[in-house]
Amino acid sequence: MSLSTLYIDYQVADFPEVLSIQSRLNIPAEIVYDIKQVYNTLSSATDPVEKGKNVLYLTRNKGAFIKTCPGTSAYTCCGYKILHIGTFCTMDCSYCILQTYFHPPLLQFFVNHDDLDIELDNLFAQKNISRIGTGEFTDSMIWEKWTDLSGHLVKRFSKQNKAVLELKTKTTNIRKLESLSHNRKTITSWSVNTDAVICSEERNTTSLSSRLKAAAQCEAWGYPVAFHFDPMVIYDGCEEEYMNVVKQIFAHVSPDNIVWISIGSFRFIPSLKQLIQKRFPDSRIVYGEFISGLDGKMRYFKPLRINLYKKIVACIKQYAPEIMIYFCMEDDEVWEKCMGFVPSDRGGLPCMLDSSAVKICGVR
Amino acid sequence: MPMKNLQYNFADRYETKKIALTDIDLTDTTYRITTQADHGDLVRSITDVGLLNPPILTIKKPSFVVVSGFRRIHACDDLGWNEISVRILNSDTTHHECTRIAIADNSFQRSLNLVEQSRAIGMLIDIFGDINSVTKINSSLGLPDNPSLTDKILSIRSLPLFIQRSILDDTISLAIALELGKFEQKTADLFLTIFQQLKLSFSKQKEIILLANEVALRDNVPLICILEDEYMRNVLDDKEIDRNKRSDKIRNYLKRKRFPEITRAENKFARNLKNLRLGTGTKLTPPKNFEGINYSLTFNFSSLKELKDRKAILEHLISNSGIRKILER
Repeated sequence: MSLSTLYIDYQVADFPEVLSIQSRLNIPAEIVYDIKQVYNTLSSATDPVEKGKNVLYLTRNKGAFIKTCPGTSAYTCCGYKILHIGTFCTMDCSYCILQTYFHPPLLQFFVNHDDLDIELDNLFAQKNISRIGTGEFTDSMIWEKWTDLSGHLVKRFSKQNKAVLELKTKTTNIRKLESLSHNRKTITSWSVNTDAVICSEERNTTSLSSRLKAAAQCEAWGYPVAFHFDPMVIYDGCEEEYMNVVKQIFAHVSPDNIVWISIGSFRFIPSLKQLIQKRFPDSRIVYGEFISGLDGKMRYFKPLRINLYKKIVACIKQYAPEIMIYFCMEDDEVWEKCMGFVPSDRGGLPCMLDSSAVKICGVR
Repeated sequence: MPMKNLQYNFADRYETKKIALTDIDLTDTTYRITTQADHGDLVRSITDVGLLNPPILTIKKPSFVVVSGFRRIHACDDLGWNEISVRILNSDTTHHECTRIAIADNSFQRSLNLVEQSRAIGMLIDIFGDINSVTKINSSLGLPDNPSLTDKILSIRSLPLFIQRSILDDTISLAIALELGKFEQKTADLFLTIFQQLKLSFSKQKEIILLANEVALRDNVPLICILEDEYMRNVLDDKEIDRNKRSDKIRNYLKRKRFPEITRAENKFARNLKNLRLGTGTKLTPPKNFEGINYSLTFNFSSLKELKDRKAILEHLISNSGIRKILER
């Protein structure tokens, strides 16, 4: 998906980052004095979500760059931190929560990196280990073509020992990572799924094999890697296909360099259903056996989740018995039935993940 | 088209005249809003007290076109009248003005049904072009002034006639009609047959449409195949069981098809619960959707004796292997 218009918040028009991005994008640019001007353009489009992917708004992050992951008490959260560098995505996955998370969704990139650096200084000065990633409100690597932010972040994280940065993506935009000194404090990670799901639900993303080749390349450059089976989609024959994904992962990278593998199944706020039906009429993803979960999101009926998770966990353990596997937003019953223990037995999920970061990335 | 208020004394805008019924072109239904074809009531009224409100016509040479009063004219025709008193709008009256007069004359005499509202809104849309402009003048014409509702009502006019008729006879609601309008005629017709046969409430209609449609989409089969499968036909044709039971059977069947694992778990819990023989006064409730892990047990009692009975049931429950089956799920 290519950009059609660059909108620039008048307050940041002379920022060096803006001039740099503008020089790399050969598209019309417009100075914006009131964000409503952009919102109105989006809202009047036939498909505002798609329109929001075609325009880029450069602005400042008026809130915090570092946020805590919005977990809920009903399910076990991993204690992750979000580095809020921008919003939305140029790829178009049917299940993407970002379609309804922002009103209206808009591709925006924050350019007040001086403020970002101050927050990172504070993060690095903390006693506790932090795991932080840019891939929560956007894809970490879609910005590589137009910005140098990842390079900047990788260098900054390489010079400290308290935090790991996770760059999570469905792209293969890794070229600029090659020459960077990372000191293993940056984890390159990929969302993975079966070929069938990628083909039917993940519009404009790269193939599984491309993602795994990119992971192998990053591993060769010394980066720790991670994988996220999220969202897992339940359909006839999915177990075999997910097990094949596991097999392919270990054919490309060594377990010794995998910091963690997360597992989570498709869940969605109820309003996303209609949007998926409208924007992705061929998608069957919303017709699974969903119930309303304890957090109000629709989730697969628990026994179905447990059944799939058990098989995938067992399969991963076959290849890498010691690897750190965790569930994203599941409860103790799921952990107990699929892993044979609950996180609190091992100090809690954040502690387990920190330990893996200590072991693989050398934070302390 | 810019909106303007029709600020004038209406009496100055027409001339009352007697004209021959044959001079009226009843085939021109440009301004027809009413859905009522029957005019027996008007025949009786006109016979009794005469024609109180002369119909409103506009000139469209060589004849006249009805702006308001189709039923009155038909009633007079039925009575064998050759001439009729009418109000003929001045020749400079625009189509826009005629439309608003037609709507106002109908809607302020009686409540327009949804199909009539749709026709009226449609006439305005043809003039003004967009919902927002139409909504602004709707209230002055006795029509809904909410844009979203106006848009929904407008959609009725493009629905097949058999769906429109089902709205009029109260078989289905507006929301259901719009849902049915998305399907092929044969499928929509079949849904209507089911709803008519079982006299389902609107919420149950909605449930059946949702379940059947999602099964069809999930399994990539035509929706008609779900509605016409052997089980559905057998239940619908089984006149031995009453309507409510047939309705429950169909809803459960569709739910089973749409959510096989969930219904299996619910049935298993129900079986296990039955085996516990808790009796009345004690209720065991599973976690909602079996998602959480907390079960709840409720006792009702009105005397010490009943409380002791409940205690015995609780002890029986704790030692019963059936409860383990439930908790292990």
